[in-house]
Amino acid sequence: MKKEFDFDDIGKRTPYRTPDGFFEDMQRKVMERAGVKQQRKSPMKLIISTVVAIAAMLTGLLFVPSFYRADDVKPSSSNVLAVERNNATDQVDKWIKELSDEELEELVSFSENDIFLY
Amino acid sequence: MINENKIREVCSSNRERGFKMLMDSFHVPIYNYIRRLVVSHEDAEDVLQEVFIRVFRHIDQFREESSLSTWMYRIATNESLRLLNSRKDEGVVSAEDVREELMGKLKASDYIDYENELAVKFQEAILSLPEKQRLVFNLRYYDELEYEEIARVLDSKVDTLKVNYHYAKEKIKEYILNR
Repeated sequence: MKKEFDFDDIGKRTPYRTPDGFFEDMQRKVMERAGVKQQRKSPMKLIISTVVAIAAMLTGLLFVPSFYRADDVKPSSSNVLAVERNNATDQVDKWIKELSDEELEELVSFSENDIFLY
Repeated sequence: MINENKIREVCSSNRERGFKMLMDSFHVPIYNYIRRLVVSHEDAEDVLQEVFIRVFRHIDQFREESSLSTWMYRIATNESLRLLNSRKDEGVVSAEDVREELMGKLKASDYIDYENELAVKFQEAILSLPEKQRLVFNLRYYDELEYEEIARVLDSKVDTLKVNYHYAKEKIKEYILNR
């Protein structure tokens, strides 16, 4: 037996362990007990909002050119495309920015499973 | 390093998100502290949940606290002692019985690595200490709180805490060498 005990021999090690996933599970229980609703849109709501957003984007693409007056200086066709693309991408960018992380995650998984998107 | 100002800021704008951030930051150190006091994982989980529920209910109050960490340790200490002393308060058992019960749990509980004999013996030594010394030792040795912080957690004087810590270390050494 050693005559001296050095605290550095043990440091901060303890024999205590926790089950796998304990902290996530504990947080979920606490949130439930505290009455905090996990904000998560249902998949159906997400699909509907996706469809609405895409429809709005397509509407923009179809009708934006008709707002230009005939006597306006006609931009070159490549400029029209650029304007249309900017309007469309701006709307999509804005919509994507407003999505939460969870909604984005669901949208990605939804898109991955949609054979008509590719 | 826990960014207390960030947690305060988020709590001000979004209570639930701030609370989640607070739990993410504190769940491991506070669980470990409670576990060293109550020993069994099941009791530690119950106490930890109570701590966070109390914190959630009074989350607006912590904006006035000088240190979020100190506040958390204070609540964790109170809740752990409430559990340990609940049977003592009923007059059923003495402080010595509570200590024996904790020793028993240390020797036969789930989620304890019994292969690490020195670590188990070290915890036995800590459990053999009087309650005040045990609290001071845990907060200083494991959680590295300053004596001033410990004084706020335990409502005690810095000089008294230093003496308690010194005695605790001596007793632990003696326990490890002679048992």
